[in-house]
Amino acid sequence: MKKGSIVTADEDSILQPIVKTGRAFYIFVGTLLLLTGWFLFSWYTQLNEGLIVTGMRSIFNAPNYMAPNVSGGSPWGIYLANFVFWIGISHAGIAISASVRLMNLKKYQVVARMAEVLTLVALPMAGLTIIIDLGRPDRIFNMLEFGRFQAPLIWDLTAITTYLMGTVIYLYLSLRGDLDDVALRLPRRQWFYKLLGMNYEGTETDKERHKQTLWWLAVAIVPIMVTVHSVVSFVFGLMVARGGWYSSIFAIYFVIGAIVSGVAAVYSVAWIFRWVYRWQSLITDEVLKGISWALRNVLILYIYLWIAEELTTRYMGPEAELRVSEFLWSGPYAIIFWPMAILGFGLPAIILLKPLFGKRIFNPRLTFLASIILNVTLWVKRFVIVVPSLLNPTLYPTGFYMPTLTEVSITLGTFWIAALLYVAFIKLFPIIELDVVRG
Amino acid sequence: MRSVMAASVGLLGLLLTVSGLALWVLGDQTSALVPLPLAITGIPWAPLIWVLGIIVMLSTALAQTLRVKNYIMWIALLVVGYLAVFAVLVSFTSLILQ
Repeated sequence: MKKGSIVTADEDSILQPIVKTGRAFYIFVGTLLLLTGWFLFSWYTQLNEGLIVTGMRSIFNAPNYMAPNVSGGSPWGIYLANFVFWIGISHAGIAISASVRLMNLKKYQVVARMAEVLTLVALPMAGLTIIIDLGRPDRIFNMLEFGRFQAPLIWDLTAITTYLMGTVIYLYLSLRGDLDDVALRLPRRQWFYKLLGMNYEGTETDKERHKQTLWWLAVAIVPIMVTVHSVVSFVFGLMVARGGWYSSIFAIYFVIGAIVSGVAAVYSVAWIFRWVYRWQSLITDEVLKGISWALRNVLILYIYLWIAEELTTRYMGPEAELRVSEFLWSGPYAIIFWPMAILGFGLPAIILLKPLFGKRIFNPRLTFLASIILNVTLWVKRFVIVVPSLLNPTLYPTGFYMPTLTEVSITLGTFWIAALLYVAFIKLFPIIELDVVRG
Repeated sequence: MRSVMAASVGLLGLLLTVSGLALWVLGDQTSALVPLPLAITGIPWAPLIWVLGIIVMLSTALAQTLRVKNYIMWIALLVVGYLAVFAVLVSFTSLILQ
């Protein structure tokens, strides 16, 4: 038998997304392309007319008692919330994959690549959102030429670049062995996979070398991952003049929040693949249950940190902190805050905690619902972290912020592009490591 | 042989990272934290050297697993690809903004 030839039904099943393309796929991709076109048009509008087309710093949002020529609203809006969200999503990818390798969690190897690809598509979306938020992307080189190392935004640029490069290398090395096998299965695309495989020999020595290198890369990448989200938190947490931000808890709060949204995203993606390709025998209930347990534990930790933060503010917080809190609890954003707290966090917490009581029944579909709710909620959570503090500086409130249609279209656009990139990946490469079915 | 190459790449990356950071610190003219006389030298692109150093350092994993010519292809792809994203964005948006 030829080395690495595809023989088992499971291997065939893993390669399904690459070899089979149904009508639903074309409809899905066509819709995504149309939506991406709308995103490009919206961004073009913003570039052409300037950030005035957004709801940020709009004079129309200024409070009535201020002079009419004073800018109102928030200088950061949903773009920044979206940036923090994408960074969060990028977390779990490598976290899960690295855990599989470092702790030898073979059972979860089936979702490792799904998670890695999630990181790979999420990080560029975070970067893109920031570039969009700049308003003048033609000045982006200034960050590299004139960036100041004391600025947390520059730490961000460095950390995200490092994480992105690490992820690309990590994914490539974990994929390299599979490329050879896919080349054998798809003769027409053989040149492509051979080119990418770069003379991979597939000998035992080669495999062992890859295994060891990936292990060490996983060791290196875990601290980078923690750094990335800590650094994102420093953009806010080191700003003393903003109520609601200046806090030593922010780094861990952000890292845990990122893990919650990331693990929830991995669960959602795994469940969707299982449902679409009928991979119940590959992505078993046990695997989903394990991920849901991890999700439940980090969610509880996140809620605990959130309560600790709220208690500190409400008990004896400085005036600026209290004003931000009031703005959320009973002010204009209460309409977002309370549904987020009760439905967004409470409902998924109940769903995830339910198997601990009574009949201990794990329901994958209900948990999928919880993971989707959590991701939407965590996007909203980032919004209520970013905007209310900017609307309530230490001296006086600056008005109100409401995103415009252009902003919403651009923000949603990052989701369509991410989905397109993900789909492109699964059409070219196996989304589950072939080693999973080879033992 | 590969281990030697990997170690060399790692050291080169480390050197670039440290040099980039050092040049950055020394070249920062506005820093209140580093009031060195050398600060007036103002060396541009130091942050870029720093970032390149990090990329080279991470590529040690590639040097450990790939042949030399393949490694060179990869590192070129990473660096050029990284800068190309910026360059393409700058070009397109400059066109629109004009």
